[in-house]
Amino acid sequence: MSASQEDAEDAVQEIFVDVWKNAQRFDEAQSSETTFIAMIARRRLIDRLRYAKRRISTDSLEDIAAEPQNRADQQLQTSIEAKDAARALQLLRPEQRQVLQLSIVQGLSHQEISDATGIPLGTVKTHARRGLLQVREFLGMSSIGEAKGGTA
Amino acid sequence: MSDQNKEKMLELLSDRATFGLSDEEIAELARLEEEFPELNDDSFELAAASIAMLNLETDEPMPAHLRTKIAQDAENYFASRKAEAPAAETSPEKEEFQKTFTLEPRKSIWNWLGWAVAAFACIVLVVNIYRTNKQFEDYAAATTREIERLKQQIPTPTPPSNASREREQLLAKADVLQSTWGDFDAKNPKNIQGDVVWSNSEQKGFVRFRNLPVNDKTKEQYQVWIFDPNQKYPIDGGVFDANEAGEVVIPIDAKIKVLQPTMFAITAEKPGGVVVSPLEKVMAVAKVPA
Repeated sequence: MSASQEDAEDAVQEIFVDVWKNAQRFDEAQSSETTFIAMIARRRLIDRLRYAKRRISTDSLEDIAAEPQNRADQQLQTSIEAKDAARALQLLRPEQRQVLQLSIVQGLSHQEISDATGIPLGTVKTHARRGLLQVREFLGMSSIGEAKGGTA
Repeated sequence: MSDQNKEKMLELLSDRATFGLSDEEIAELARLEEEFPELNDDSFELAAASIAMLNLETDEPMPAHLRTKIAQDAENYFASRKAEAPAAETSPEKEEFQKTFTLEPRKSIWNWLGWAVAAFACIVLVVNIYRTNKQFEDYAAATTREIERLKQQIPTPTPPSNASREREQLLAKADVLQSTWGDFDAKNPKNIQGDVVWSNSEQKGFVRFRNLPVNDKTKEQYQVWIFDPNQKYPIDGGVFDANEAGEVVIPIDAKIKVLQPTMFAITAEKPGGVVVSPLEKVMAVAKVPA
C-alpha cells in the first residue's frame, strides 16, 4: 500500500509507535495478536494514503478485477483468523467478495472499484458493508450484535 | 432518527475499515460515537485486517537499518512516557541547538551491535506483550530496563594514556582549531573549564576538562558532538567517562570526516551514548571562532 521503500519504512516506524500506544487496547478474546497489529497497520496505511492523496495505479484495474475470486485460497495464510477469513469470504455473495477483495486486498477506492467493475458507487459501498458484517460475524469479532440485524 | 443514526454509524465504521474516512466523515463518526458508544469497537477493522492478511507475504525480513530506527523510536517513546521532569526553560541559543541536535546513527561496531541487539529485544518484547497480555506500563518498564542493560554491555573506549602528549603535538599543526568550553545554559552554569582542539588535516582532536563531574558510568556517560554545516546532523565524537578528579584529556573519535567544525558540545547521556539526545544534560559547548 505504500509507494516506495522510504515510504514503507516510514510507515513501519509509525506503525510500531501506534502499536505501543494502543497496546493496552488489545483484547485476546476478540482477535489474535497478529490481527490486532494488522488492524493498526492498516489504519495507519489508510491514513497515510489519504493524506498523501495517493492512489494505487489504475492502469490495470480491469486485470485486477478479473482475478479469480477464490484467490484467497492460494495465499499463504498466516493466522487462524486469516484461514477463517478465507472461509468467510467463500460464504459471501460473489459481488460482495469481489468488492472486499478489491478494497481490502488490492487497496482500491470506492470509485476505482466502481470504474473497474461497472458496479454503481453506492452499491459498491453496500456490498462492502454487508460483506464485512458477515465476515465479522463469522469470525466472532462482533460485540455489537444488536445492531447487526438491520444492516445486512 | 436514532435508527438512522445507528445505521449511519455502522456505515461509517465499515467505510473506515475498508476505504478510510474523509475529514468530514471522521467528524461525523465522532459525533455518532457519543450517541452510540456501545457501537464503538474495532470489530469492523479487525475483520478487514483478517482479510488483508490473506495476501500477506511474510518471507521478507525487516532490514537491519529499519530495526535500528525502530529501536531508536522505542527508546524515545518510552523515555518520553517515563519523563516527568518539567520542560526546561528555553533560550534562543538552546532552541537553535535543540532544533539541530538530532543525532545521526552511531557507526562503531560496538554501538551497531548494541543497537541491533536492542532492536531485537524491542521486537521480542513487543511480541511478548501480546502473548502475555501484560499491561502497557509493565511493558514500557521492561523495555527500558532491557535497553539499559544491553547498553551497559557495550564497552567504553579507553582513552590512551598519552592523550595529553598527543594533544600537545597536535597543537603544533598549522590548521589546528582551539576553543574554550562555555556554559550552554547561562541560567544553570556548570562552570566546566577546559578546551577543545581539532585539526582538519589530521582529522584528530582532543577535549580537555576541569570541573567535569566524575560520572557513574553505570548510570550515564559523556558524549562529544561536532557541528559541521556540511552534515545534516551533528557528528558523534565518541563516548567517554570523567573518572579522574583532576584534568581530563580525551581524544575525539569522530565517526565520519569533519569538514568545517563550527561548534563542539558535550552531553551526558545514558551508558553507551545515544542516537537521539534527549538534551536533558548539555554539559558545555565550545564555539569555533569564525
